[in-house]
Amino acid sequence: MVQKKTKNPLPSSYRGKKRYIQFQLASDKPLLDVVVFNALQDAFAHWFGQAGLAHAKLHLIGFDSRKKMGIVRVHYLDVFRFKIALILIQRVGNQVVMPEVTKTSGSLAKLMASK
Amino acid sequence: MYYDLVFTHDADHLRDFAAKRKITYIVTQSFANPVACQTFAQANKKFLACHLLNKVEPREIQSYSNKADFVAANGGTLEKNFAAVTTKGVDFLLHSFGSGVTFDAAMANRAKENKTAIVFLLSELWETKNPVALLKHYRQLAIICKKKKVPFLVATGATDETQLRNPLNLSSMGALLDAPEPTAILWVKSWEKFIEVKTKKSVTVVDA
Repeated sequence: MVQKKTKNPLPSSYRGKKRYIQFQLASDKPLLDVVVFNALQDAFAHWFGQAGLAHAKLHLIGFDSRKKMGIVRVHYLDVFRFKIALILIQRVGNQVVMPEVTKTSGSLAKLMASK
Repeated sequence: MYYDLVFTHDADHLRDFAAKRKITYIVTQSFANPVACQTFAQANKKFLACHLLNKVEPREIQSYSNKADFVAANGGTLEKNFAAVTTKGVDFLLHSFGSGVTFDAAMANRAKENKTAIVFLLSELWETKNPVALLKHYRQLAIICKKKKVPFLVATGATDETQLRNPLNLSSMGALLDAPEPTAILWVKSWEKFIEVKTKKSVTVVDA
């Protein structure tokens, strides 16, 4: 019997809608993407709880430490929740930051094209 | 044009931040005397000056009415909030949260008569030891203000340059106060309308 190479992925219609949010974390020193993602998760969980965090399906697409800009993917109903959790962040690690949401889009390609 | 109420008066940082984002800052502080307020307003024509009252006194309001663009009052107790919304000349009620019930529908009616706006500051969330009670208070306040048609506004209330945020992002405050998106956007956008009504004319900010 021939074994399948990949598992059956969940159909796209079952995965739910998502939004990509581009944000900026202005700081004096460069930030690591792992530290940034932990800070985002902690902030979201602090204000909206673990269940809220699970619902948001927060995923860091990438963080450019040179430009201090990043992109996250969230559930489309949690865009406002993510935005407020982000702007309530004052510190990432030991660094004082000034967060700002710069753009929101339904497709990653559009967001990358508008950079 | 977006407006933001801040406590910091670090003009350089404010100018840098505002330059890219079409923001007019309402710089709020307790000025020592009306002359100091006028001097500040003349030196920083890009900002609007707001005198902060710790205790509401009609004589003090009168002396600042021509010197400052706005007069704000600090609340926190039922008496302080009541004094702020019932005294003519007070434009903003800040820090209305305190222990117990500090605001009710009757006070909202008085606030509407006197055209006093209730302002929710983002910095209150950072400073408070009890964010749950604070959010509970402002959720209730947002409902009362919507029902009684009292202006409810959101601002950063930044005390230093690291607390500055883009006012456009503040429209997501609805997620914390359980308000629908259009209402939350109004909390940010109605600053312009409120200021126009207050000054009876469109505010023109001169480039410094």
